[in-house]
Amino acid sequence: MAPSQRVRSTPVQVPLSSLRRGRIYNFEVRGKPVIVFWARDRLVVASEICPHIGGPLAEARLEEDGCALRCPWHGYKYDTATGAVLDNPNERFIQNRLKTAYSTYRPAAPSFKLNLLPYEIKNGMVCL
Amino acid sequence: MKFAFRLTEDDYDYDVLTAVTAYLDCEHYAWLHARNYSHYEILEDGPTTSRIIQHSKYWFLTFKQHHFREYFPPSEFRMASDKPFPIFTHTRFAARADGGVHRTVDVTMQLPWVLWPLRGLLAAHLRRYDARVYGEDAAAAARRAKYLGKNNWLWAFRPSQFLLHKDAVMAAFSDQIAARGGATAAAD
Repeated sequence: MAPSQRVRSTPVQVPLSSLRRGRIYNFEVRGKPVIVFWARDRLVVASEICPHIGGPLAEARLEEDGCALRCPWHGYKYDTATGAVLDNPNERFIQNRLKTAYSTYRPAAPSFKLNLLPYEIKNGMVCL
Repeated sequence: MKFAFRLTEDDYDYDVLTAVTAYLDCEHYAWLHARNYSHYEILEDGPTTSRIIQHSKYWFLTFKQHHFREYFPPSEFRMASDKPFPIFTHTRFAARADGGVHRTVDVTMQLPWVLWPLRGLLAAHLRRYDARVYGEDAAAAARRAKYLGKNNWLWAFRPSQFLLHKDAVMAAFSDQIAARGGATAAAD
C-alpha cells in the first residue's frame, strides 16, 4: 500500500524511523485526515484538507525539500513552517489578462493557512 | 460536415451553484484536470464572455485550442473551440426537485469529410473524455461535501478568489448567497 493510502484509527503512534523523506504519509487522527512529512530536519504534521477548497493534500507535491507543499487541485503553494500561502500560480494568467473590472474580485494574498497540527516525539515514536 | 449529438445527460446530488462555480473556477483546469489539460490561459474576458487558450490532450495528441465561451446566467454555457476541428458545446445545469442538479451537454462538430465515417468513434471518445474530466469535478464536489459540508460553494465568493464572470454569477444567485451570509461569510 502506498504511504499516502495508509489510514489508521486513533490513537496514532508512528515510528519516526519509518517516515522517509520526500514522501507524504496520511493518517486518520480523531476522525480527521492528517498528513506527516519531513521538511529538511523538521517533521511537519498538518491537516490533509487544503484550506483553499478542501483539496487532498496527501496527493500534494513537496517542494523545496518539504519546506513548501503544492495542492493538486489548484496549485496553491504553502509554507510548511508558517502555513501561509506562498504562491497562487494561476494569478499569472488571471491578473495579466483581465480586462473586466470585477466588483467582487480583489486580488490579494489569501489569509487562509495550511492547518499545522501539534505532535510529540516519545521514545522514537511520533504521537499524533 | 455537421454532426450534432447529445454528449451526456446525467444527475448529481449537489446543487446548481456547486456545478456553476466548479465550471467557472478557471484556476483548477490545469491542475485538477492536468491529465487532460496541460495549459490554460485567459486571453480576453468580458462580463459574460471569455476567450481562453487551452492545451487539451486527446489520445496521444495535444491540441492548442482557442475557446470562446459565453455564460448565460444562471446556469447555461456555450463554448466554441477551434481544434482539431470546430466544436461547439452547449452545457446546461438544471435544478432537480430533490436539490440535485441535472447536467445536459450537447455537441455540434464541423467534421472534415474524411472523418465523417469515424463520427461514432469520435463521439464515444468525447463521452469517455467528458466522463473522466467531469468525474474529477464530481469527485472533488463529493470530497468537499464530506469535509466542508454539502453544497459548499462560498469559497468561490471570497474577495481574493477569481471566478470567471464572478459578478454575473453573484447577481444571478444573489438570494442563495445572501441566505448563506453573503460576502461576509465568504470573506478570506
